[in-house]
Amino acid sequence: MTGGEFRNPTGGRIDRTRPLRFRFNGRPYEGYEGDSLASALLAQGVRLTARSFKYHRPRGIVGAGIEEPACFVELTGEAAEGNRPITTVALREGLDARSVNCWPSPAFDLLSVNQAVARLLPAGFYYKTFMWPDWHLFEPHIRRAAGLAAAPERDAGEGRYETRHWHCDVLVVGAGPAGLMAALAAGRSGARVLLADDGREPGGSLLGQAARIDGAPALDWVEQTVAALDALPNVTRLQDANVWAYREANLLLLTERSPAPGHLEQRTWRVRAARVLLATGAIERPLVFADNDRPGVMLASAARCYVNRYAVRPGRRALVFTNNSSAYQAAAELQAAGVEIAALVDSRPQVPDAAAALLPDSEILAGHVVSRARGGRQLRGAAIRPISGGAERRIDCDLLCLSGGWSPSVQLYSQSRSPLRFDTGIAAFVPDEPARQAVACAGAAKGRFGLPAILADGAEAGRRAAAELGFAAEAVALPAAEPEPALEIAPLWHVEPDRRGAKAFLDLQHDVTLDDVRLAQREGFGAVEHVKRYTTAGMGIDQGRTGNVNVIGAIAAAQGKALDEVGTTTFRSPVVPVSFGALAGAREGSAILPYRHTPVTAWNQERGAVMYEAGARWRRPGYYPLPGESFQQSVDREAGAVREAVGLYDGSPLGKFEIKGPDALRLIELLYSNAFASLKSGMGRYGLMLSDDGLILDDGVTFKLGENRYLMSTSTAHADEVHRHMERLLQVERPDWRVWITPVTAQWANATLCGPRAREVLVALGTDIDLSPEAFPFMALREGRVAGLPARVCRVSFTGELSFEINVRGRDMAVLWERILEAGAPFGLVPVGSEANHVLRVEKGFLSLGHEVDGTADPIDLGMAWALSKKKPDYIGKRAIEIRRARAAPRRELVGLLTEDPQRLVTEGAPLTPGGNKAPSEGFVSASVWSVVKQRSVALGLLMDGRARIGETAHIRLKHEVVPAEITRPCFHDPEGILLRS
Amino acid sequence: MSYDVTINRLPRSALFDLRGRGEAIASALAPLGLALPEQPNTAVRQGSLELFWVGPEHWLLRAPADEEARLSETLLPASEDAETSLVLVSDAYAVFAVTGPEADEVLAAACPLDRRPGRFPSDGVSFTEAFGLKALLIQRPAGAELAVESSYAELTADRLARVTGL
Repeated sequence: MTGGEFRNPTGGRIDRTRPLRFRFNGRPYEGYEGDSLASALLAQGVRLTARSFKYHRPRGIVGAGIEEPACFVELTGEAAEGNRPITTVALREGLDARSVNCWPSPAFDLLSVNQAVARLLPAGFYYKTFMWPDWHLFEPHIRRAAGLAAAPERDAGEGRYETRHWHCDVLVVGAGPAGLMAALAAGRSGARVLLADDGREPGGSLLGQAARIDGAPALDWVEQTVAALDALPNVTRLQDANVWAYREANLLLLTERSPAPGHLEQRTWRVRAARVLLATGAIERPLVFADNDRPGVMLASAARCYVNRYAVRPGRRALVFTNNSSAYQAAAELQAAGVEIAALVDSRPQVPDAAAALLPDSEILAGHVVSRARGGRQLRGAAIRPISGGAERRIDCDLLCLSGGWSPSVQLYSQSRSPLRFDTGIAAFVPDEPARQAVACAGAAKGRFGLPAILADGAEAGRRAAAELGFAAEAVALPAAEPEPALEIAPLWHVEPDRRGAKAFLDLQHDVTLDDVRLAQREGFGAVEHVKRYTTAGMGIDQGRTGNVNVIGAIAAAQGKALDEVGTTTFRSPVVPVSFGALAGAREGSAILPYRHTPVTAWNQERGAVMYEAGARWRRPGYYPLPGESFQQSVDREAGAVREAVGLYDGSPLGKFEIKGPDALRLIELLYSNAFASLKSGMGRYGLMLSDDGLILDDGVTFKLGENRYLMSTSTAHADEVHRHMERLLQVERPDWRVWITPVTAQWANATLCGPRAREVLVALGTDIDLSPEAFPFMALREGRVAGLPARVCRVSFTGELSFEINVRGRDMAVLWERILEAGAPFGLVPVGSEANHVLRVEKGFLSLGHEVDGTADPIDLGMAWALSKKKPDYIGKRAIEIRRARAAPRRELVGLLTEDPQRLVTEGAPLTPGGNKAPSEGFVSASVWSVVKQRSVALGLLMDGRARIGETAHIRLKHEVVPAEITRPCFHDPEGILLRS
Repeated sequence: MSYDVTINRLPRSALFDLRGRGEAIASALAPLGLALPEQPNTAVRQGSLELFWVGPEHWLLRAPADEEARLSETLLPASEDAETSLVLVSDAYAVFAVTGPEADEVLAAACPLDRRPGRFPSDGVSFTEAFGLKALLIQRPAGAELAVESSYAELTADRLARVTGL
């Protein structure tokens, strides 16, 4: 039959008029609209649905929702996705799913051989067994064997994910009875409420129960409440939306799985909430005994959910094993749905009358436990004995429902850094006071049980949250709910297996057993965090929702402690698995990484320049290859043009700041290690900016534009950092200084003419600036017009050649660029990229951030002691340099390196070691290029005590060889600087 | 299906970055007949001029591009005052207008700013982020304008188009 032989003809929240076809592990099945994949399979009698993580034991469905610890599936096709709990997959037409961690199928799994060698695979076995000769030889195979789903092979396509920001007064997490009441109370006060629920429809636990409210089915009340909420314009309600992280300052992250508009697959919300109410419910715990993982062993609440929500009987004959009264209601509802109740096994010595009254005709075995489940691929029965020991009795069943108590879902509360405490009354960890953020729990998440109490608690929590924010919140009328028997739990953390080697599972997902925890204790991993790491308990996708407290119970038993003395492990985000797409949102494809363009980026791209990021997210031309040219040929041609004729470089990304105010000079004097007080208007000076620890932060040229007014240029890569540095200084340390900084990096574009014929090109362009060396000397700035455009022209050189940096407004750059190319053509002008620029600066020995300035070098290391003013009373980094130099310890110093073989280019970053031996490095190659002026390879490096070793030989240690190199001064071209001053 | 929104990159405006003591800036603007906004993170408008208070001792003056020269000349005398910093930044920003019935959806994807009525005024202006980049948000009746550094113009257009679902 379409619905399956375990489907009841009536009831449930499924649409029997809408059958859906789907495939599971390659086999076709049918279910109904409203089914989950789990319920549809159970309806068809499919019990063996998975293999376990480590031992590849047969596993079946254990839960009904997000708590599922045993069965994960991989979805293929259009909505490919890995590692989804089978219980959270909504059935749809054409769904194609397969079990993870088994091959070829759960029924016949090759790695089930692991069960035969299970005794050789205790917790942490791989750390002990695979250390020799190298763990990395084994790691890929072990990971594959213990792996989950593979990443989808097909690109999900772009435009399917979105991230957004949201602000609200009250965020309510969970649309069960407490959450709905809280949202209603807060919403009616006028507060802006966001209600986020992980279910496909609201109702939470009520969806899986036959509860009644106000004399009618509870889901009628849910429908009416949701209608009331949807009518409030200040309430936003999200379904199928998991809140998965609680960050600082009440920032929470949630992901919607089926958002509108329809083109979106998922949407992640970054919610900043003034108050957070966690109505996340509670998760039922299994009980721990031998072979408690057989397919057919299920949480009692899950079985209850299947019969009520999906009209599916998860078995024909059920045995119920519990230590509290909640399972009696579940059993009664199973019985009402047609499941035979074989017996109730209750570890408590006496069963409360209210509970027993729910099943007047069933056998109740008080003071008994299940000592072992029977069966292999399918549960066949269980062994029962008195809790104190004694004769064993067998009961046949195909469903074993467990209830070991309830754990409030406190993950998000704990992530808010708020404390937990162990409540012995309900044998569970519950939220404690004080909360560390504006957060509270309501309902079962707070440890409240029984529908009347949960409804009242939710209403009060919502009212209080709104009132605390100043909204006129009034108490909402409480609906009348029928109570269930009180929990009255008697903790039972495990039943000792009668047979040595029998496996009693604590954490089903990671196959962690009672013996594993005991082994951890014996080997010294006693603390709960150590047990987690040693055994991997709680480290699975389910984050140990069902197993963690039982693990803590096992530790407590082993150590003779109470559970609150053992404590919990840290709850981490994401609470549920989140796809990478949902994290990235629209940051994909061409927008995956930030990028910046200059006004001539498009020109460069159209001319075939090879573009890549060259610092601070700027996309710049690396080189401009001509047809048939190799990389090296292009770079040589461009660098050669600068040395012989003239080149054009787009210097727009250089950081630029206007600094103005009566205290502008004081700021500059404090920032730079050298003196600027004597600088005249229209002139600039090179400066070194140091960090507090006296290391080089940046270098650049600062011009004096007028009285109290300066133009600072910085390196491209550190422009933003320098800006932050200056603002922090002014806002935090010197708020009394009257000086203001305006970034103008993007206001002024920069076309740099460099080379011996640069002046001729500038003349050909046409300018009203006197370009003679006397009127416009090196390090001067002149304002005027160039090619008819208003411009600031600076004589600064990064190549060692005569250079003019022509700065124009961004709007004029493209025009200027074209005119320069046209005017420069007769002089042999070519555009040059950052690769040629690198060659030219290395030849000259100019430093570069990220190369010589590596975060450890100070000015003296780089031969720039002249840049440390002895006259200034202070500058940032002064004291640190003085302290460091007082030690007189040898340091790495900048040197030139000429390989013995002039053709030999070495890798930048290669270590220098004494004699080329396998020994601690004494430096490294900071830059290595083919020099167009020397026609050989040249390199720069930082070498221990390098300046004293000029003329000696250093050794560059590469992977398969050692390259000797002569140590030289770090300048290979025009050491007197005649050309750049020409 | 995409959001019902219109994204327009606006033509360049005349834009001046004004920093300094309030009295000095007020004095510099006096010839334009423009008074400083009374509340931080708000705008005042007069004729074609808009003045945004965007930070401590920090304002932005915006006008149509063809007024750039006139404004430069008017403000020039004040720029000689050591207590003011008046800098032309017209080319430093790219401005995108996000308008339409679902503009708020797109703006929520771009900006972390709380734009709820009562939290951010109808004449509100603030530096915030747009897709993680520093941006100036100018509230408009049917949405907002986002100004980013012009070097990020193409990236911002790319991301706005992606969020819009175009």
